[in-house]
Formats: sequence, structure tokens, C-alpha cells
Amino acid sequence: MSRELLSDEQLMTQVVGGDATALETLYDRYASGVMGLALKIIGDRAMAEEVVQETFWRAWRSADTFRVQRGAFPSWLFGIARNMSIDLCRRRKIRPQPAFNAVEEDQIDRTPDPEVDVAESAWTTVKNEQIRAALADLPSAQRQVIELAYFAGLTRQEIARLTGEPLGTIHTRARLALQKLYDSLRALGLEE
Amino acid sequence: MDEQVEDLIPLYALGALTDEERLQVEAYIAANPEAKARLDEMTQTASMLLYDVTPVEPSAELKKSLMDRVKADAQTQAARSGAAQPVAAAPRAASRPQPERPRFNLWDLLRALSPAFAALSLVAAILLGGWAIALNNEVAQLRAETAALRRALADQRDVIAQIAAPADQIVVVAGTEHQPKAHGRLIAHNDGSAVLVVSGLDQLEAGRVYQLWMIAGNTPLSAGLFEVDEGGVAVVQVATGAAPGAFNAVGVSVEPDGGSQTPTGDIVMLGQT
Repeated sequence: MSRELLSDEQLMTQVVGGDATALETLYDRYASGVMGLALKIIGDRAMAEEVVQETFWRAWRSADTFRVQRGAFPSWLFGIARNMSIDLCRRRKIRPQPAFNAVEEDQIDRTPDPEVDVAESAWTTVKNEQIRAALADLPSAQRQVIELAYFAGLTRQEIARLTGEPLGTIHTRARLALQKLYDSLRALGLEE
Repeated sequence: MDEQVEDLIPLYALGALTDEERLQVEAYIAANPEAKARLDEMTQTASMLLYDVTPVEPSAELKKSLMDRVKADAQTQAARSGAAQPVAAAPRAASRPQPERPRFNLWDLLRALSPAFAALSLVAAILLGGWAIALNNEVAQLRAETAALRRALADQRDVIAQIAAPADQIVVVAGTEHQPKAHGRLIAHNDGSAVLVVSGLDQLEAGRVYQLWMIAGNTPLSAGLFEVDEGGVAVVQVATGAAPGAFNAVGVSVEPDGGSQTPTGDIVMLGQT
């Protein structure tokens, strides 16, 4: 069977067995997503590439800590990338970026890559777009709170200082945002 | 229901609490299964934010650099375990033209003798072909398992070598109230390498993993993830990147798969350096 047709979980089983080519297939599948996430948090291309390399290196060296469960691989991999990105920002005293502004987004090269495989395209076009749509439905103040917390790694006190809002307001916005996101994703069938 | 702590649960799921506040929430959910269910639901919802990303292609050099590193590591692991290095197949010698000579063709003879035999042979060939494919798959699976065992053996050799070397510091790591039967040692060296040997830890449910932390001042730094075997034992190689004196404590917490940026689950072991 062609490697491109194997599931993430089948490929990870091969990675545990020391198969470098299986890791390469996973890289082709998810590297641009990991890069996008790291760039979103760090805002620096060179450092984001460092995170991409270290994320896949950890996936290689710690493959045996991944528990095979269908659909779990992207969350596992992206969780590693998020933690590494925020950690890297803290170690280098860089404030993580909560989100791109419109100008920065326009500067990103979105030239389609002919080598991006079908699974990655599916991931990009389905899950990514549906979640973006759910996020777009959130009131901007609520979205700001979850972006500052989840992608910039700020504490509730830091968010309150940055936004000039009382702590109670930050609490309410976080709770409402997660509840609304949960309802939206459930309606889309994405919440397990 | 403690309204003040309930108020912190969404912020816990988003990672927006201080260490002290996180411990407060953890103590609360430990005694309140309904609150834990709410937290799990919110944590899962928050994890979906990871998909809110515009894909960006990394440079081609990055992939080459990573794969060079991975392949070199795979070869090192194989060499350590004494595995044969992959060798490219030697090109076959060019065949020399041979003079044509009449030869006895058994197939033609059998086909002439019996068309039924030909059909039977075809069926046998198909069956043998299927058997060969099954054997081939089995061999591939056994090779992958052997490679995994070799890597594990090489890792264990490294661990034994580190334990046998004179330690620069040995830290006693004891179980906390969450897992009081747990105990272990961290054998640390000045070159930043260390080995953690623990026993008496519970096996974790799916989706959870133990994470080792080296604590410098008030800052916990992740030093790796591990699981325990059926006997609750684990031997973990640690690359702290610093001499033992750089840390004042060692801890083990329970974290979601893939680990966390800072401890979020129960602290099950602690030791002072």
C-alpha cells in the first residue's frame, strides 16, 4: 500500500519501529499546519521553523509515548507545537502573538504546493475552515480573550491589564466563548 | 459548588491561570467529578482552537535538515544495536548474450498432455502467490518489531552506562499524597545528563502521561514524558542541559498526551536537590 494512503496511526506505528520514511510522510501531511500554528504564536519565520523541526524531532524520538487512537495524532502533534512555541517565546523574552493582523496575513505566501498530499488538503479545507467559521461567529471581545489566553499564553491578570477590563469581565468572556464554541462545533459534528 | 473556583475552570482550560490558581482548581476538581467533567469538556473544546491555523509552507531546507537528522539517528540506533547497515543492492552483472540452443520445455509438454493440468497449475500459482504476499507482510512486520526492540535495547544500554558512571548528584524523589507508594532516584551528571528510576507509580488511563519537571527557582522546565510498566516501574533518560546544581527541585506530574508547557495535573512525585 502506498504510504500516502496509510492513516496517521499506521504511520506512527511504523515510526515507533524506526521507519524514517513514515515520519517524512507525516511531515508532508502536517508540516504546513504546524508551521502556520508556530508562526501564528511567535510571529517570526525563523523561530517558527525551529519549532517545526523540533516538533517533528520530538514526534520521532517520543513516538512511543503517542497512544494510537484514531484522529488523535493532529491534536497530539499540534499540542507539542503550541507548547514549544509559547515556551520558546518565554525563554527568549518575546511576547507571543495572539493573532495575525490583516497586513501580516497578506504577507504570507499561500502559493499552493503541488506536493501537499490529499490528507493535508482535506484537513485544511474541512476541519480548519469549519473551526474558523465557528470562531468567526464569536463576538470579537470573546474571541480576543481566548486568543490572548490560548495562543499568547497570557494569564487572566495579564489579559485584564492588556484589555483594560475587570477580571470578572475576562472570566465571563472566556466562559461564554468556550460555551458558544462548544455548541457550534457540536452542531458541526466536530466535538467528540 | 464553589463559585469562585468554578469561575476559574474556563481559564484553566485555556491555560490562563497562575501556578497557584491551577493548583486550586486541581484540588477542587479532584473532589468534584462533575466539575472535572465540565473541565474536560472545556479543555477538549479549547484544543480545537489548534485547528484555527492558516497553513504556511516551511522551507525545503528545513525538511532536508530534519530528515538528515532523523535518518542519522535511525542509523546510529541501528549501529548501536549491532544491526546490519542497509546496503544498496549491487547492480547485477550485465548478462552476456548466450547462443541459442534447443532445450527441453517441460511446460509445453505438460500443456500438450493435459489442459486440465494447466488450469490446476494456474490455481496453485495463485495460491502460492497469495501465500508469498502474506509471508512478505509478516516479514515486514517482524522487521519493524525487531527494529523497535533494537532501539529499546540500545536505550537500555545507554541507561545502564549512565547509572554505572559516578553520579555527581543523586536526588531522592518521593510520592506525594496522590501516589504515596511511589519512590525513586534521579541520578544526575554535571554534563546535563541524568537517569530517573521510579517505581510504585500507577499505570495511567489512556490519554494521560507522566511528565518530569526540573524546577529552577519557581520555574518548572519539562525534562521529558514517560509511562510505567505493569509493575509501576520506569527508567527514563533525561537531558536537562544543565548541571544538577542549576535546579532546586524535581517533580513528576500527570499530563495529557504530548505533555504540557507547565504542570497542569496532579503532582505525584517531588524531590529536593
